[in-house]
Amino acid sequence: MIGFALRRLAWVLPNIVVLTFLLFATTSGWLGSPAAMMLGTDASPAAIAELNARFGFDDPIVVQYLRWAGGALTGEFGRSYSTQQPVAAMIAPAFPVTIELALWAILLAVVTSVGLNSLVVARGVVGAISTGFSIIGVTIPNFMLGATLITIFSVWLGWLPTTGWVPWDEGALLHLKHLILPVVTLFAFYFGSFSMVYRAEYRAVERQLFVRVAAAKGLSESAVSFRHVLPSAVLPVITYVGLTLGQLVGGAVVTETVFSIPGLGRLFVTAIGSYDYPVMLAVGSIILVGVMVTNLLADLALAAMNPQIRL
Amino acid sequence: MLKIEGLRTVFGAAGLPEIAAVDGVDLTVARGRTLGIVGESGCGKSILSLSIMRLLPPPGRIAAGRILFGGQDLAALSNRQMRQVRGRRIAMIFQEPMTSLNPLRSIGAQIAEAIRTHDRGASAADLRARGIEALKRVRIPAPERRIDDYPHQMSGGMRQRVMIAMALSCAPDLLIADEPTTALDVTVQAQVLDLLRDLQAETGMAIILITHDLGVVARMADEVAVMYAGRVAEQAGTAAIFNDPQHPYTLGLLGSIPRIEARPGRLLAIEGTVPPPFALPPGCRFAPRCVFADADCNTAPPPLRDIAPGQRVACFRAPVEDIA
Ligand SMILES: Nc1ncnc2c1ncn2[C@@H]1O[C@H](COP(=O)(O)OP(=O)(O)OP(=O)(O)O)[C@@H](O)[C@H]1O
Ligand code: SF4
Ligand SMILES: [Mg+2]
Repeated sequence: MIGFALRRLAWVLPNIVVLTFLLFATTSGWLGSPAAMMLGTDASPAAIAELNARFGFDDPIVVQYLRWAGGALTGEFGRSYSTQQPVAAMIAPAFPVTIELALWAILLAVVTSVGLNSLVVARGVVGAISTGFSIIGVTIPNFMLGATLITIFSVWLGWLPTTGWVPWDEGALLHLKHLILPVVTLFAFYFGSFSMVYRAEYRAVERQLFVRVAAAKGLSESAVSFRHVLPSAVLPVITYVGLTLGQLVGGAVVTETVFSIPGLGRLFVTAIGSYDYPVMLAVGSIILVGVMVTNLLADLALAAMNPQIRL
Repeated sequence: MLKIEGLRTVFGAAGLPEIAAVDGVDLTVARGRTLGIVGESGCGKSILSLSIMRLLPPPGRIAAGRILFGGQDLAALSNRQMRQVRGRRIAMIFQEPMTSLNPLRSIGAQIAEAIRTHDRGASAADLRARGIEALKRVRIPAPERRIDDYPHQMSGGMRQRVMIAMALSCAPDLLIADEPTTALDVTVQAQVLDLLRDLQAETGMAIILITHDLGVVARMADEVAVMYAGRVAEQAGTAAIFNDPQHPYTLGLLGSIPRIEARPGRLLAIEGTVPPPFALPPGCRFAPRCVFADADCNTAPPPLRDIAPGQRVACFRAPVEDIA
C-alpha cells in the first residue's frame, strides 16, 4: 500500500511541475507584458524597462518560473497588482472558506446519493425522487438555483440570511445559517451527478452473481444492498468525487459569487477581471494541485477498498 | 423431503404476455439422496432452482404450485420466513465460481457472514474457527492462511470449494448445485464431485444436481429428472433412466443406446429444436420432434404418471416397448 502510494506520488509530482509551468507560461504569455499592465497603457518605455529589470520580467520564462515556483513552495506568491497586498495574505482567509463549502456539499451529496439510492424500501418512490432531483440539480444553473433559494428562504420566509459569510468564531449558529443555502445550491448539482453515476453502477453490480449468492445466504434485501452492492457500486463515485473535489478546491465560482462568499472562487473572478495575474496564478496552481491531490487520494481510497488493486 | 407440485414460474413484464419458464413441474427429492436434473439449455433448470430458493430475477414469479419442504410450502412463505430457509436449510452453489464471491471481501468474511446470518450470537473468534473448519472440510490446504485470502488469489476450483464450504457452513438439509463443475477443468471437476459426494455421506444432506453431463449424472445421482421445455418428461432412479428409459425424449438424449457402460457423454443432439415458450404446441411439447407422436399427442399435455415403481413418465404412449 505504501509502495503504491509512493509510486502514484512519483507520478503526480512531475505532473504538477509540468502543468504549473504551462499555467505560468500561458498566463504571462496571454496577458502580455506584466509591466505594461501594472503601469497602464500610457506608461513610458523607460519606466517599463526599469520595472522589467527590477522584477526580472525580461528573464527567460524558465528562470521566471523557477523564481515563482521557489517562492510558491515557501508560501510566497508575490503581491497582487491591484491591491498591492501579498497574494498569500489574500488566499489565507479565502482558502478555508472554500474548503468548508466544498467539503460540506460533497460530503452531503455522497452520503445522500449513495444512501438513498441503496435503499430497498419504497424503491419506486426513492427512484423517482432521486431521478427528479438529479435532473433538476444537473440542469438548473447554479446561479438560478441560488437566486431562487435566496428568494424563497431569505426574502419570502426570512428564515435565513440572504448572502455573506460569518466565520465560526463569530457564532457557530450564525455561521451555519450563512452556510445552508450555498451548501444546498452546490449540493443539488453534485447530488444529481453522483446519483446518476451511482445508480448506473448499482444496476450493473446488482446483476452480478455474487449478489445472488449473498441473497442465497439468507441476507435481507437491505443487507445485500448495503453490504454487497454498495461497496462495489460506490467505486466510480469515489473517482468522480476525486475529480470534482479537486475542481472545487479552486472555489465554487458561481455559488460564491451569488452568495457573496469570500472564498477562492470569488477571488479568482475578481483577479481575472483586473488582470491580477499573481492572484490568478496562485489560485490556478491551487486548483491544479488540488485536482492532482484529490485524484491521488481517490486512487488510494479505491486501492484500499479493492484488494485486487493492492499490488 | 422436497416435493414440488404443479410448479409454474412465469416471467411477465407489465403489458406483455406471460412466459412460463417452468410450467407444471412435479418433482420429489428424498432425504440424503441426490436428484440429477438434465435437459437441454433453456428448459428451465436454473429457473426451477431459483424458484425453490425464491430468488427469481424480476419480473419472474411463481404463478402456481407448491414447494413442500419439511412440512412448509416455500411458495407461500413470507420473505422474512424464506430468509430463515435460505442458507440455513437450503443452500445453493452456482455455475461460475469466478464470479460467485464478492471480490472486495476476504473469503473468511464471506463465510463468517453466512454463519452469522443464522447464528446472531457467534463471536468473532468463533466465526473464524468455524470458517477455518469449513475450509478444512472442503480440503483446502492451509485453511488458517487461506481464510484471509481474497477471491482473486484463488483458482476456479478453489473458489468453488469455498462456495461449497460457505453453502455447507450452516448444515443445510438440501444443497442445490446448478452446474457446479461446468466451468472447471476436467480433473478439478472430478475432485469437486468427489468432494460433494463425500460431504453428502458425512452430513446426510440431499442434493439437487443440475447438469448437462450425463456422465456426471451417472456418477452422482440416485435419481434423475429429465426436463423438456419447462416440464418434467421423466423422473426415475438413475439405473432405470440409463437402462430402461421410457420417455421418447430420454431415449433421444441417450442416443437410444441406454447402456450405462457405454461411456455416457454429453447430451446427444435430437432432430429439431426446443419450441420457444411463446409457441408451444397445444399437446405434448415434444410432439414436433417425437418419432412416436400420433394424433392423440397433440390434444392435451400428457400428465406425469407412474409407469413402474419409482418411474414417472409424461408420455401418452409410454412404456415405449409397447410402441416398438
Ligand atoms: N430473466 C428472464 N426473463 C425472461 N425469461 C427468462 C429469464 N431467465 C430465464 N428465462 C426463460 O426461462 C427459460 C429457462 O431458463 P433457464 O435459465 O432456467 O434454463 P436452463 O435450463 O437453466 O438452461 P441452461 O442449461 O442454459 O442453464 C429460458 O428459456 C428463458 O426463456
Ligand atoms: S406424448 Fe406423444 S409426442 Fe409426447 S413424447 Fe409421448 S409419444 Fe411423443
Ligand atoms: Mg441454467
